[in-house]
Amino acid sequence: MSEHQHGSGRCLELAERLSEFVDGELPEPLRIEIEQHNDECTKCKKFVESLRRVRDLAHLLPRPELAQERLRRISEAARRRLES
Amino acid sequence: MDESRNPQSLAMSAERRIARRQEDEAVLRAVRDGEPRAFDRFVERFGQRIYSFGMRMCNQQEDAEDVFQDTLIAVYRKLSTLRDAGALTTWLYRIVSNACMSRRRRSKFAPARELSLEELLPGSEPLEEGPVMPEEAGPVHEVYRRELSEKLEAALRDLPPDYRVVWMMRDVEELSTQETAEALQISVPNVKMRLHRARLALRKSLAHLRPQGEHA
Ligand SMILES: [Zn+2]
Repeated sequence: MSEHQHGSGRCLELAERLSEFVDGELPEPLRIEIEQHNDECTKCKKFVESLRRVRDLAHLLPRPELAQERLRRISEAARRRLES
Repeated sequence: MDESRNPQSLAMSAERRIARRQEDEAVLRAVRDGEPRAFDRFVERFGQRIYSFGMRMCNQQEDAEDVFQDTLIAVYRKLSTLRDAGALTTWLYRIVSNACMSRRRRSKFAPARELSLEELLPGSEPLEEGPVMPEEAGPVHEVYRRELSEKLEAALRDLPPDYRVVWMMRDVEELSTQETAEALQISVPNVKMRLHRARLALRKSLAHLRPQGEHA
């Protein structure tokens, strides 16, 4: 395991761009630098993996649902307000 | 195993996302053009989506119902005057987030504050790995999945609203960075910054979670 910590220089600078990295939104040179960095830096590599998992967790979030009857009643009220 | 519970399969494919967006735009165009059945189509297509977005932002059913109704009225009053034919969905999310933000002034919201990068990055504590995903949890998969989703909901409630709204748009509603910037009328770098910090904060809140029997 690498000894370095995220407090150190380049890791910290790159850490700021890692969401863009997992979203594929980085310009080429920076993307390549991060890929190469992660080949050598276990901590950053694990960090990127965890960030990707957190992004994917959004799909685990249940969608609160309104009862159909309630939905209908609210939209009818809105319709009346629009017509008045 | 229930396929739909797998985040990979739940994440929309690019084709499905495009198809969904086209249907969204078609319904919004019908509203704009004053088609007779458009009101019902709008409610059917967007009602639950707007309500659940409102619930995540306001945390109260009553507020979320108001967000839905305010949105419905604003859409009807303003959409017909909207000249720009493209990006109706982006425009809709702008209406929804404005409705949420005006509720916020009236209800008990998590206070606005800035999230600093330093407090969110892993240091020397053993949090590098972040949360374990449910499909990696083995036999306790179902119990663990529920725990994870409850903890995620709680962590989301703790996020400052300015960050939460960006996370909701990007990672839940799957708007692009550009669309989110337009919907919230903030810059692209600002969207990226808030999204990154929101993910880091959620990551930090969930990092210690492991299926039962395992320890971080
Ligand atoms: Zn590193």
